[in-house]
Amino acid sequence: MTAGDGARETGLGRAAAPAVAVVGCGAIAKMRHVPVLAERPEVRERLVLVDQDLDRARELAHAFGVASVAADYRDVLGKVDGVVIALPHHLHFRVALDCLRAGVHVLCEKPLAESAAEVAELLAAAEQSHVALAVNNTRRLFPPSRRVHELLSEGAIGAVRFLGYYDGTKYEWPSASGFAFGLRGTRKGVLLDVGAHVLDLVCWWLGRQPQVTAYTDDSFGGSEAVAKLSFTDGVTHGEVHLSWLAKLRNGFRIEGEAGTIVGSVYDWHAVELVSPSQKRKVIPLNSRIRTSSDAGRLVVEDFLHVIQSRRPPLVSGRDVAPSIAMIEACYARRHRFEMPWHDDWERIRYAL
Amino acid sequence: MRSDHRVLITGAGGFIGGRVAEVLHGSGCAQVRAGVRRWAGAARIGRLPVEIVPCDLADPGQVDAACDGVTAVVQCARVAGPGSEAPLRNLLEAAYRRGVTRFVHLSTTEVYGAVDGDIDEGHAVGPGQSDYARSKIAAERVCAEYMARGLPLVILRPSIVYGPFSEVWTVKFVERLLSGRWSLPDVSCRGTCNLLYVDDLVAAIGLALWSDRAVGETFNVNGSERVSWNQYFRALGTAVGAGSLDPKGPLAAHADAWLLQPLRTSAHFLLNHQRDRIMALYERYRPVRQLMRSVQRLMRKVPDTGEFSLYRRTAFYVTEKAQRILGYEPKFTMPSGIALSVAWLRHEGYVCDGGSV
Repeated sequence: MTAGDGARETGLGRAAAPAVAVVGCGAIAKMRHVPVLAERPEVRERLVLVDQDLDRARELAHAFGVASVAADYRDVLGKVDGVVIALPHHLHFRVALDCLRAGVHVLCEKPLAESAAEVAELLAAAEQSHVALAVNNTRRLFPPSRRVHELLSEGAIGAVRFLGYYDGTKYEWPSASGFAFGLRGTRKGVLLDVGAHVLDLVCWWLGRQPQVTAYTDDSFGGSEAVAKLSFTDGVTHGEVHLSWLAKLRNGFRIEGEAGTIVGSVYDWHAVELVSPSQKRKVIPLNSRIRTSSDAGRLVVEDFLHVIQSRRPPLVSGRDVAPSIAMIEACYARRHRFEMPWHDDWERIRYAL
Repeated sequence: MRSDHRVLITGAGGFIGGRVAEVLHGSGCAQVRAGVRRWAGAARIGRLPVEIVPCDLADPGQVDAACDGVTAVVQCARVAGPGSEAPLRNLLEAAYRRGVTRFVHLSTTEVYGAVDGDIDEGHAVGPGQSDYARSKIAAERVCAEYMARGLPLVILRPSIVYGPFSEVWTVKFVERLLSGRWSLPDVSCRGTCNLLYVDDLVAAIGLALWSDRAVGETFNVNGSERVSWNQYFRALGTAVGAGSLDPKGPLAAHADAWLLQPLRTSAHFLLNHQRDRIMALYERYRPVRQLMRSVQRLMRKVPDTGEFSLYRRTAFYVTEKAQRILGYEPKFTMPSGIALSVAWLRHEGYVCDGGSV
């Protein structure tokens, strides 16, 4: 294990390889989960790909030499040890609950669920069935995230007074179904998607769940593409700005009593520690996790071990519960930005 | 109100298509079916509670399904490059077979070529000065075929469309202006800008959708002001708080553009042919990321050699026909259009207080 990576020994033990199903054969399954699982012959032999669009499942199975496909995840529940849930967000809870109740270990894509109550129900089901509930909140494994957590735990900047996180890039996800958009969508966009990562980091870094004090987004009844929120816990206040429409500064700033940590979301070269006298110290990261694919691979490999050895996962359902509660609190108080450039169609009413 | 109308907007993930969808839906004047080529482009339009469908014009099945049950089509999808008539033909054919009652096709004033003076719709079309212009000319010919077959079709030729979400005529120029390293000499930018705020184009599209007198006609769509490129650049720079620009002589400006042209051509070629490999290197190696970002910044800030001829052109595209037949009346002046654009740029984080990107 490399310090700061969150990495673990990833070779499988001598026990028989676990039987795993991947439920949902869209972009994330194709790009991340199936390639990692299928490259191990002993795992591939028992792998089942599940999608209600059976042609899509067959196509993916063919590409990776997987023999088994199914159209309904309920058909595989008695036959597999673990399930990777790679479905549209709004289906995570229902499918995860069924799997956990059936005694199957679960690795769920983020967001684990849409409300604190749903997370509590999943945790209870996992406990009752004595199975693991892992979540693919890969950003916890990103080298800057790990290093910030260590620095804050060591008290490198003292008590945190301000935390700002800014994450925006044009939406380019090659979604197979477009589930996040249109009348079929849940009308929850960038906050539930990118926000599930970012608010998880906020809660993890602070070691507690702050209260949301303000939340605005640009939804007109559909899925928001830009969201801004403020939070506080009495000691720390902070802000998060998320966008699917434009590139933001893509970094974070954490100000404490004894210094400031500055880092980038996507550039994993180093984080900076700035002293109160503005002296800058560059802290190199030197991680063997160099891309988000590396981090994703680690989570999937870890899940295989979790099934075999019953050890806790890298990121568990309980870990992400505070961030899901925070997301729920944001949506409960959502209102729209002032956007005069959008609402100004009265001027052209004559033509409509 | 015409809420019994269901309008398919192709290219709804783009700058103009997205705005057409927002206005038609927001004003309640039609039910919107938003066609997107790929879901990755649906983030803006996804903010609306409208029907969104896959509609890659190259896929006849998708196009036919997208046209099912609509009363009208607004064609905003990009159809550029050699061979682009075939996808457009798919859409026209589906609309024709489905019996839509109106088809609005967006062309461009670039179809007139490098011309000067007042240009109305009677002016000869072509030759095209770019792949884009040649594609649009070819597209108009295909539209004419379907007009002759009886499809109730209207062609609009918009000029320089700017406003929120305009990458080409708003975001790119603001980035250039704020970089502090971009300038073109006044003498190179005395041409007429033909600025058209996007909502005025949407108004023209609305009129083309509902006016019976529009069918079978072609209309220029332009703003009402005769402003030069210099005036636009200065007004935009002032609005975003850009400092004074580095004065550069015409020779130096042209030399920069010509020197960068081979790099620009090579970069486009590599991205078009080896995109996956390049992006894998980009993600894994920091020096590659730094190099690519530097090249990208450089290319965005130095004008393309073709831009010079546009900035010198003194053509003004007159809209008398659209005013007379459609009742078109541009409502946005350059100051009002820039003010809304800059409010949007600030909101999205392109421009921070103090003027930095």
